[in-house]
Amino acid sequence: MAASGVQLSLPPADRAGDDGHDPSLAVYGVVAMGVAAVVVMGALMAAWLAVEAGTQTWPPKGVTVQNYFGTTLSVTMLMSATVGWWVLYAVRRGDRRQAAMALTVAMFLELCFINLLTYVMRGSHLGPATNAYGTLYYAVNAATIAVAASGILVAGLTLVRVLGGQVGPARPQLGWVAAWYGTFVSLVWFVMYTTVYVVK
Amino acid sequence: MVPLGSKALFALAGLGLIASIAYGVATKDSSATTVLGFVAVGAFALGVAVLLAGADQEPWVATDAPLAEQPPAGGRGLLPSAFPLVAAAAFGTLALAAATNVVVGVVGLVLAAVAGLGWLFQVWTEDGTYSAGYGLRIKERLLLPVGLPVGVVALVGAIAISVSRVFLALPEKGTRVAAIVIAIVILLSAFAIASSKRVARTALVLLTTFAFVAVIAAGIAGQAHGERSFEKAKGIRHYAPLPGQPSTVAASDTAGATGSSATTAAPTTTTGS
Repeated sequence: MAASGVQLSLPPADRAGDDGHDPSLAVYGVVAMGVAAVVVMGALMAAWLAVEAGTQTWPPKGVTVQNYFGTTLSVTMLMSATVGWWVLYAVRRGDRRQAAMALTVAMFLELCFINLLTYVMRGSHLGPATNAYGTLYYAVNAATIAVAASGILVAGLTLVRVLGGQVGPARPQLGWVAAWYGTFVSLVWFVMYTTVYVVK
Repeated sequence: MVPLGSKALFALAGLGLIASIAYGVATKDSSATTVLGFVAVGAFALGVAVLLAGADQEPWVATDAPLAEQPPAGGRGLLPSAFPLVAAAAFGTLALAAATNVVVGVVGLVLAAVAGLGWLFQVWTEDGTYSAGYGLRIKERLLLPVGLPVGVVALVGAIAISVSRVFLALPEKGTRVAAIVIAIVILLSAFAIASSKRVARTALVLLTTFAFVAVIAAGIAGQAHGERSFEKAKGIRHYAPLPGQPSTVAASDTAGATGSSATTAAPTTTTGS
């Protein structure tokens, strides 16, 4: 059967290599998106440092940064990133049930992360209009929450297609996507952690 | 061989790193150093990604290749997608919501849901494993059992909320008239549709859609107009006074037309013996 021109115009995401290792265009797109998210967080960190350098009292009086929350959030993110690679492991082994379970756990961990981060934000009583610290604190937290929410979205879409049998050892691209994006979400958090909890 | 894209990104990474270090040493400004450092790291990471990606070329399939190695035939061609544009609008609206109010946020979330579900559906149906039979099976086993009840609940909720906004915005007598008119219109429409054998399906869908949109629009207008003023009850207390404390009850409750207020004694508290 000869392949028509329409069929040959399939995007690279549908062209797995013979060895099943071809990460495809979707993976490189996600890597580019993840790098962009990390650089955005780096820009926010730079803004934080710039405002800090021009402010006498930083953080303002009454603001206590509790490292307990930062450590808990970091552990959650590390677990989430690890689970992302578990997804890829299961997809490449063709174990659909394990892949679905891993994706569900990844989504749950990222949801827990957002839950705790919003709790910390509420407890801080800082808003975007409170003061300069509040503005930047709100910005870095909101950006991190947005990235984590997109991580849930990516994992959810991967889960749907795993359950639909559209991801497997012959076409593991979305497994790579879930693994890499989970890692980048963690990297974004660790940039924020360095900014808020280490540099302060 | 390193492609041109990777070479350019590696060059950007190197220049960014040098600029970061030089600027930091010269000015002691940590913020600019950080920005340049992140740009350098990002450029390097993207350069590596481009290096590993390889050239974007069509796969070559030998004419005598086994059937399983050939691209699927017989499916429809890939459609251009509007969903990336809708997703971009959704994210823009959500970003705007952070600086405005929650209504803009809800609009952004609805747009994001439409983009996400539509995009997923398009990608799903364009996959090589998808077939009409498989689609029918998913529809019968998943979409109808789950989507139908959820859709009905959402529809009823949207109509109830919209109509309630209209009722709250109208004056008291107008609310009664509007409620009766809406009920009569629904009754007559249902009667007309049930008794007629010549109503085209397209016309019915258009009429229903128009009615739904009109109700939602009226609800939004009612919300924008605000609620009418309601009388507030004065001086009515529905709780007992605390032990040892007198409670003054408004004249309307106790003294009637005299207009005076009465003070009721609190019940005596007995403590043990």
